[in-house]
Amino acid sequence: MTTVEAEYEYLTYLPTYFFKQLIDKWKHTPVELTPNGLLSSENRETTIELVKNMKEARLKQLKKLADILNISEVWWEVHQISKTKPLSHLYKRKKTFTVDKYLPEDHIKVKGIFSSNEISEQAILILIEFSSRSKPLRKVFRFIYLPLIKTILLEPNELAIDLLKNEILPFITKDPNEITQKPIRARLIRSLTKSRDKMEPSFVLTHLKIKISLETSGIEGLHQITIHGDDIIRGAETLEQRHEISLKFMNSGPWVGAGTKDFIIEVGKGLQILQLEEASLKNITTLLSRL
Amino acid sequence: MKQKLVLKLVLLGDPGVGKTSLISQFVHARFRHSYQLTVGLDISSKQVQLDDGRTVTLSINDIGGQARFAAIRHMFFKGAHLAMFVYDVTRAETLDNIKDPWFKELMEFCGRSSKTKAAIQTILVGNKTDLEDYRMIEEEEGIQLAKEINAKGHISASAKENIQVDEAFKTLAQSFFDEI
Repeated sequence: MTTVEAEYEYLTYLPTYFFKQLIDKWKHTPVELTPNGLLSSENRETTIELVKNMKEARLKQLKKLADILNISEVWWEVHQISKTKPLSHLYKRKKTFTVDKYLPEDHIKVKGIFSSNEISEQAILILIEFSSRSKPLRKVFRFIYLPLIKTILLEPNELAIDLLKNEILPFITKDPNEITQKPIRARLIRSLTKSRDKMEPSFVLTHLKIKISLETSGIEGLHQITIHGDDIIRGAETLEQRHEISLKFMNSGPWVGAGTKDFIIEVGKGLQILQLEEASLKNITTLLSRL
Repeated sequence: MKQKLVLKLVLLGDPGVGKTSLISQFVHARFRHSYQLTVGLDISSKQVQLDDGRTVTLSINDIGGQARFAAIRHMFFKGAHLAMFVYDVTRAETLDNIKDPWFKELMEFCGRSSKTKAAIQTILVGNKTDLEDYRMIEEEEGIQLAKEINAKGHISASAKENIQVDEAFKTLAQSFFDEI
């Protein structure tokens, strides 16, 4: 990686849609960018040009946002809300306000800033940022709200669950008690290989994890098989046909993990979002609607 | 002296679906955590009292699911009154294989060949339901297949947790009398 590339690497984590909104807000001029990532070949030149001409304070803000949106390592918990408020209602509300929170474990009261940000038409990023001079605290709590499927994603953490129940749910739902955690199960991973109907996009799997332990398949000496590729289902079929070999392990199981270029799901772990772009979030919305 | 009725039952399904474990739980009330391959055939028996008060002895034939036993398998089907098809709810392929080869093979040797001969009674059992997170097959898919193969019913069971194991064997045994 060259020095120039390294300097702009943080832009990888900023969704194009979100960046466009910021530029529109700051410069009052719409900017043309394809929804493939700010550093994609189509957008790279325009993005760097815009960033180069940015004021220091805005650049700092941009870097901070990119840091918050660096989510590729997060395993999200999926929660389903039964009755949500209409989106128009949310948009009418103030998007930023303060939250006072008493933390029993630390015996302190802290001030937090609640903010809701549209990162695409599919998703709203909710941030609660705390600061305290007396105690070290985890500063930012992130939640991704997918209004189309009444789902909210959170980073597993006791305080995050508390914040979800007491601060976020009153903001987005009619009945704050009607929420359930949705675990990722093997049947969802199986469903990735077949579309429910013709309208749904089919997923191209780039990795698959098959559990073949004693507990599930009666196999001693092996725990799991993981395969990677651009399109592993097609790859496995071609390998079988071309080399006339048996890949029976594909049919063993259960399948406990699977991934595409947009996301990874794993039984017992949750959902890992690899990109916050519009198309990726659409795919994630389709996937989670099957839960 | 009242004659003792013995019904021959065969268990069929892919390797590792838990056929031996279901038998072990039903006959000996225990679950073995290690896996032991069934070489060809294992026979055990248990007396069962049905809901109508009738007592029957089940002669349970545990047939190895591996392909290498395919050539000799049909020999054990002879004279069978009952068949239990077993699949593993955590492995999608094991349900697909019930129809072909397991059902197909059984029908080849035990299907109704004349009006006077009663067809073998069958039941479909989805095993390992204790592994809920790993479940890849929905119960509805099992129920649907049970209808397609004309089985007496579908039962979701767990040999490990001893859930619905007795019910599976008793329902199957009872179905023999429902037919006659």
